[in-house]
Amino acid sequence: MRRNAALASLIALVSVALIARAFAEDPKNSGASIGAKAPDFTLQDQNGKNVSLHEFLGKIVVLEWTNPQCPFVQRHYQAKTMQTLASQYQSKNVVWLAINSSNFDTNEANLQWAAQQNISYPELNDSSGATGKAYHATNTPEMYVIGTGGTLLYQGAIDNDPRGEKSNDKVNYVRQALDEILSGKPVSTPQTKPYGCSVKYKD
Amino acid sequence: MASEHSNERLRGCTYNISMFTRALYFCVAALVSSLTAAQAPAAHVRAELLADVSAVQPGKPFWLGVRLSIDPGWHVYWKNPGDAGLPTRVTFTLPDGFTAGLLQFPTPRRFVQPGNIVAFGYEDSVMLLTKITPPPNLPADFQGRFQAAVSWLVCSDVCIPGKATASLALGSSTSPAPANRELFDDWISQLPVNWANNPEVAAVHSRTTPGNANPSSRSFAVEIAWTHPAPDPVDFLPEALDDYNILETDVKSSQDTTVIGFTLQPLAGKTPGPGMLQAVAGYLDKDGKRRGINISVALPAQAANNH
Repeated sequence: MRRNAALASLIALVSVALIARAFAEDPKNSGASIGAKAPDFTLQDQNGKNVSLHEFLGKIVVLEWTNPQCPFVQRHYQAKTMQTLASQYQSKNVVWLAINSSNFDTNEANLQWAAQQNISYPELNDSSGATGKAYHATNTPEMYVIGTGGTLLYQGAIDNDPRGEKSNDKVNYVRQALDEILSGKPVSTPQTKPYGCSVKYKD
Repeated sequence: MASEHSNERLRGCTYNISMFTRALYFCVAALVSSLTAAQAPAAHVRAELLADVSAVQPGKPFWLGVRLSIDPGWHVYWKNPGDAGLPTRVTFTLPDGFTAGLLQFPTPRRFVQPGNIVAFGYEDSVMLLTKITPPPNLPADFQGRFQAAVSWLVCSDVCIPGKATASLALGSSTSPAPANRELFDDWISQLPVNWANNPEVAAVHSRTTPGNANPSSRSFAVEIAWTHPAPDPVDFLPEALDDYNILETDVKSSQDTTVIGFTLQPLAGKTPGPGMLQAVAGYLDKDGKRRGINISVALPAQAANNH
């Protein structure tokens, strides 16, 4: 029994070392975190034009991880959740960028989706998944709000209604964060659990 | 309504009679479903409601099971879907005086998708279970309809939300009337149990460990001592925690011991009080049957972090 305990302790110590190494290598444990600088990227929009995050220093940037084939994304586009927010805050120094990290994404598909949904903001092609992994985006939709200084201020769900069934007690976390940032307040809910489809990464 | 749907299919039999085989299939299917359980059609998942009795005895609890048959290559989700997805949900509607216990989920599988996105769920089929207690004064001529409203998200390369209502009619009996015994035994044996009730497990211990460099996160190790060589793999299947992200886990088995390591990171802006993490250690037994052990880990109050 005592030998078992000693063996178990040894196993535990070795495991801790292995775990520590595994964490250091896991993309979910590095990259974007609240209060830290948001990772820069350069991606092509639906017209093939390069768009870089650093172009927008001095503005508030909303990143929307998207996939037109995902029913959660489709539900929010039918309800005009994203389009309405983007246009309502456009005049308030807020830039909206949609990013598609699906392995099957193409500029043509983004162009078609943008036309179909009457979207004026960039639909960025991240089919390599590099930007999605830098932010450790796991869901579509998943939202990030970046402050004027390039710091990540919000990460998580678009709202508190994963099944699309709430009416009165619905909170749109992105709207809430934008309103707080625009009135100089700290973001009261800087992180929530995103919901939706998994991001369809290549690898 | 599921029952109306069955009637429609029965009516369809007279029109389809010339296509003999197909008609026969539909007639049998419709007849069976109208007599026993109404089967709701939906893309990639079929739901049916079953009982482990063919008639109800006054005051004697029985099992209801919602069996989901899932197309190959697709999966539905556990009560914690993991990094993405939606929990499968069931709402029961019961005859007057009947009560239902908690919905019980068999031990799920752990899927790792590209991008290291972890999901917990089921492929092929699953039966979600609940214990039903009839009233003690059930009349001898009782006839009742039990209904389960099921909603799910089913995913492969794409995800499709679905829902169905399945129902089942049962009468009463004064003597035991078992039914579907093998099926229920199979799924009940896949429900997670406390380790003390599992002869394969000698002990389970959990403790905090120094692990992650991030000062606001906290690492834990759960050690399972087996009464035989450790099964491999063992899946760590945590229930969702409102205030924490559960970072990637690491499971190592050696001889008769399995050590599960994981790190909890409070969501930015949260300072969680003391709590419990409920989890399941899932594995395949020597006969290849999926089994689960309940694990509870006490979470100390979290010191305030910087955000």
